Amino acid sequence: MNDFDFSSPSRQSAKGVLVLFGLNTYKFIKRSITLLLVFAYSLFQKGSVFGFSINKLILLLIGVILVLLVKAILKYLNFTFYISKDDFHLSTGILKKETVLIPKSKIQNVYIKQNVLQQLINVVQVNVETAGDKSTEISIAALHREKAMQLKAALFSNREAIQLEDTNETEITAAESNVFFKASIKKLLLEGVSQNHLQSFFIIIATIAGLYTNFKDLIKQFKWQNYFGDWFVMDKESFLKTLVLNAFIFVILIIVTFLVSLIKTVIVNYNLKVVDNNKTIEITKGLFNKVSLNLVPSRIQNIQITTNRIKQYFGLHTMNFKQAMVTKKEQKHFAIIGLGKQQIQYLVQRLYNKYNKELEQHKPEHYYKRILILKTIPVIVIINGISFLAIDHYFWLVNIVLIPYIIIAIYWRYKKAYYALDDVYLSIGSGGLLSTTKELLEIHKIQTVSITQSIFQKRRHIASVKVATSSKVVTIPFVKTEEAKTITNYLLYKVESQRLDWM
Amino acid sequence: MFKNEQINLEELPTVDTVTYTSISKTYLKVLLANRIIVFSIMLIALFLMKAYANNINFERSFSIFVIALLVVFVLNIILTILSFSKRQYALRTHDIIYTKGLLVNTVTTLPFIRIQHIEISRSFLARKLNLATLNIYSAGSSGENLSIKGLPLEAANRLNDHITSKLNE
Repeated sequence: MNDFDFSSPSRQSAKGVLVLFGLNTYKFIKRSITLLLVFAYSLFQKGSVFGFSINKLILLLIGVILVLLVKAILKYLNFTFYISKDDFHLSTGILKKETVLIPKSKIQNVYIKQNVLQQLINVVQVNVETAGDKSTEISIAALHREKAMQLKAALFSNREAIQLEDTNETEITAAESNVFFKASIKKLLLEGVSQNHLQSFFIIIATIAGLYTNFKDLIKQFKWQNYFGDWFVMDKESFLKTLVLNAFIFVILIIVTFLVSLIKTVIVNYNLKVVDNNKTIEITKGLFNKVSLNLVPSRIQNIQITTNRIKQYFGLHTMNFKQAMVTKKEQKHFAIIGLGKQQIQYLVQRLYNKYNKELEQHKPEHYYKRILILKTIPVIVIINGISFLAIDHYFWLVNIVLIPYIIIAIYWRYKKAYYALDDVYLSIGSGGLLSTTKELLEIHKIQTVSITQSIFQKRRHIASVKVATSSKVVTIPFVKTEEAKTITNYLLYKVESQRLDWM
Repeated sequence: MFKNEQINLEELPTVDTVTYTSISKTYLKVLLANRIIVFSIMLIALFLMKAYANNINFERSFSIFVIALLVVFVLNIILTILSFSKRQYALRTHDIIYTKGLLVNTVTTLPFIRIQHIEISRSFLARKLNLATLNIYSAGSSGENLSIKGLPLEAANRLNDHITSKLNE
């Protein structure tokens, strides 16, 4: 293995031109898709676009491709990076030159990614992320895997040196790493089946609506009546036909939703692997977009463990790691699905090694249930209203289903709510009829603590505590005012007396 | 040697025994002026709609709209005046506390060691009335920042200097 020298400015792999060209082309097509389709349509209808003949169009196309290629080459030539003692330097820009400098100690994540094109030509993409905003995110489009690994090691090098001094353990240098968890296809399928399908249902509806607004004009021109004329002819059976058609569309939608969320889960998490690297925990996953990322314990702000009734039956839990200012898109990579109870326990112990599972769980006050019931009144009114418009006299029949559902849901919501607190950690449980969530955080990572109290709560001497870390706000709901104050005082005391860094 | 003594929860410094300082009374003028401007715009929009809509149904229910708007306006003004005295802040050795809200009261505490940066901002009206807003930012998303509005400029500057000196400790 030859060592790469990162101290002098170097470019990415020459194959990077190809990756950049691919990315640019993809972006170009995505941006002008509507226009291109209109052109294609006009080409097939009239044989020309704005009076341009096919030959001229091909020339134009070649021109566009050349421009994209030249741009990719220039971008490649003007993209250099190097590592000095403490910082990562990057210069980019063809006309508008830009130099970015990131102190190694501020790097939060280094991702290794591979999309289909990068997999084909055997290069990897390296993303360097800080806790700053999106615009400071750095992406190196193409590097040889070996070089990428060494770059990652070099970027993390300082920190390891510090940690070594701290622990003074020589074994760590051996860096024994073991694959701790591997999700089998069976597990992924089970996860896919048992997830919240309602979410993907809405995504599909939104996608269809988005496509429709994009291609509205095109669709209109196709004159659907010619193909489906029968459906629109009004006769005696037309009502029944519409009903059957609607039911048919609905069933198809449900099946599509189910399949989409299933396939998505499998593709995103394909070959999910968790490697215990001693200092960090490495997550690798993905079929078309391979991602590999390292979790550094000090960078984790919150841990969230979720499951639902079906998943619980199969022994499946999802673990989410929240970090400061990670974009929504990247955030979802920080999830490990399909974990068993023991594996969850192991991981929690691994990251939060003083965590004691057997802590006393404190419940919210019973008043919480009453407020939850009061909050559902608008929903009940709205549903009754809709039902009144739809089925007239017997509208109250919905309540036979609705009221018991609300009672059961609130019962479970209250049953699953708790908080537990010790010297180092705060854990909060929540959930509803189906889902169960557990939030864990280290007290020294807290940013602010607030007590909120509505006038109704005030009369009953009840308040809620909101605890914010840099990635998320969690709430301890409906405890006695005195208790809320004690919690707040305790948390602030811990944060202010320990004076530990939050990242 | 590292010690780990038991903490007596009763002896911890508590957030509710501090004496709060109120913000400047003149800030109420700013709040009221803002509300009057917003409602005037809404009222003008309503009249314009009446003039240009030419819709019988709309004209019939026009007075109801105006009355509803006025009721909301009066309630809003009353609430603003009543909850104004709840806008208070307090400084402690290691943190700053800000409380506000009548219907939903919140008491937020931000430890100095978690502050990323602070700034003083002054709107047009605030400059006329010699007021200032002190924004204190912690790390992370916007939900975790403190914004103390309607401080007398001199108090804002003093707070700013004090917190800055704490940050450099």
